[in-house]
Amino acid sequence: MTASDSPERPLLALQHACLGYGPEPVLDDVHLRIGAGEFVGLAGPNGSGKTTLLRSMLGLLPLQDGNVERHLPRTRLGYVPQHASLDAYFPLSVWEVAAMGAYGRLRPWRLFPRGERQRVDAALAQVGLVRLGRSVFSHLSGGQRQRALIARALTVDPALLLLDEPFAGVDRDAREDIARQLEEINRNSSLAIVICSHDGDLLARFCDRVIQVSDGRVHGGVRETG
Amino acid sequence: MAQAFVEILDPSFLLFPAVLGSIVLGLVCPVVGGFLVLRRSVLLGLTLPQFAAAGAAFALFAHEVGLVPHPGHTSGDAHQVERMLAYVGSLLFTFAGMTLLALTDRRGVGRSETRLAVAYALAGSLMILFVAIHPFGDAAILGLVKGEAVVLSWAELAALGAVYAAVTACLVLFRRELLMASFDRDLTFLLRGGTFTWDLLFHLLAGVTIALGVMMAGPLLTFGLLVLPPIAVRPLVSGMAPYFIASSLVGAGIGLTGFAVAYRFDVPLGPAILALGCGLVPAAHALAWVAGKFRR
Repeated sequence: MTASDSPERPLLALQHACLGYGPEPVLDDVHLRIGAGEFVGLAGPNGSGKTTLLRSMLGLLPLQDGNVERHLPRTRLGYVPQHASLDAYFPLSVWEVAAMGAYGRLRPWRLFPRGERQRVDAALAQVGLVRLGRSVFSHLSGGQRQRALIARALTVDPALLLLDEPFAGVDRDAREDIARQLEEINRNSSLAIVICSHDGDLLARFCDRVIQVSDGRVHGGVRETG
Repeated sequence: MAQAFVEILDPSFLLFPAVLGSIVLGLVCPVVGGFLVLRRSVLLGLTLPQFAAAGAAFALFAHEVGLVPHPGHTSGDAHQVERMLAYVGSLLFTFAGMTLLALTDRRGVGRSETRLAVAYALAGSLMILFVAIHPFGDAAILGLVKGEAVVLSWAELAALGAVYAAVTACLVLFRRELLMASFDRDLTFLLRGGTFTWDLLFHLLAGVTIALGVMMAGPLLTFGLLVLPPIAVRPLVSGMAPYFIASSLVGAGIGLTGFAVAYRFDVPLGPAILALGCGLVPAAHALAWVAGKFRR
């Protein structure tokens, strides 16, 4: 029995949620519960509203209607955007990208404390990027950039990690690697993870449950009990 | 050429404050411009100096036609008052331009480039019109447009140094927030609650830097010092601290070298500095290309 089907309160829940950008909602009457330690996939074709759902879960997109319950502070949400959505012109090193996850805990006048440096190094080690810490982020392959962004989200010290199409623009082997690393992180740290992807087969192999997003609806957002 | 450096760096040199002013501008403008380049707002760096110059022209015009009282009793006093009014006009027009651009951006009027293009045309034409209807403003504005920092006094240098030191302190203090808000707005929302504060702070710092820079060196030279050093160093560096430090050092370097070239060959200061900066951009890209070949 996981937290999502227990009477315990979930980390995040949407009820009767209506999501979208204009007068016509992209997703209607969404019910969704994400419990602690769950590994959940959001599957659906391109343009079905997966990213819209993810952004609403993060609070980046206000609901048009309905309720959202977040039983964790916003600063404990780890978010991994699509690497192509970030500007490659910044000469950021991989270490600097991963270190951004710690910015929420640092006051402006503080130097980067040793404990935070160790946390960044540990996050890079978790995704196998320690060796590339000094490389320029935009010089990496798609899969490596995605792993650097996962390291950044881990540096946040999240209770819930949300990933938007982490397999986009990544070759087959790198997809398997990323999925396996996420599975390992979920198992070892009990971190709840939500991945959205159009690759339903890959999600089915690694996730505890897969929620289908299609035709303006979310199917299986709340685990059936009994 | 070495003799020119020795002469201009001698504290007894008549234009020594202007030499130091060029170095200070070269040190600070590229740090602000580095953010403009990364935020893909280079055209803002072109448009705001035009607003600042239009503000200075308007202040001189307003002073001459009596819209602003003449408190000075001697010609020296009158000149000081004119300079002070030009600073105020430059600042006011810069912030008015920024507000106009922010409002049209918020209302989604047209595309970003078209808004900046219209604003640039407006500011440029206003400046010319203010000068045209006040012929005595010609000389002062021509010096401003050409980028003649040679009129800098010790008092103005001290003011420039103090304001730019404060701008640099803010940029260093809030470097993480400004970087995060420029690179990933969603992450800034999650970790800091939004980008509004950081965008506002950055635009205030950019506005002050540009308004003061235009009064010291003119719109063209200010724009060049804002964007050319960061564009030149971008392909050669890895990491944000090296990017900003190298941009600042390159800016100071071309400020000083440009002054020596202008002094040695008796050419206008602004174009001399800009020509050096423009030459560095293809040189840096060629160097990065060669370094890339060796790495492979």
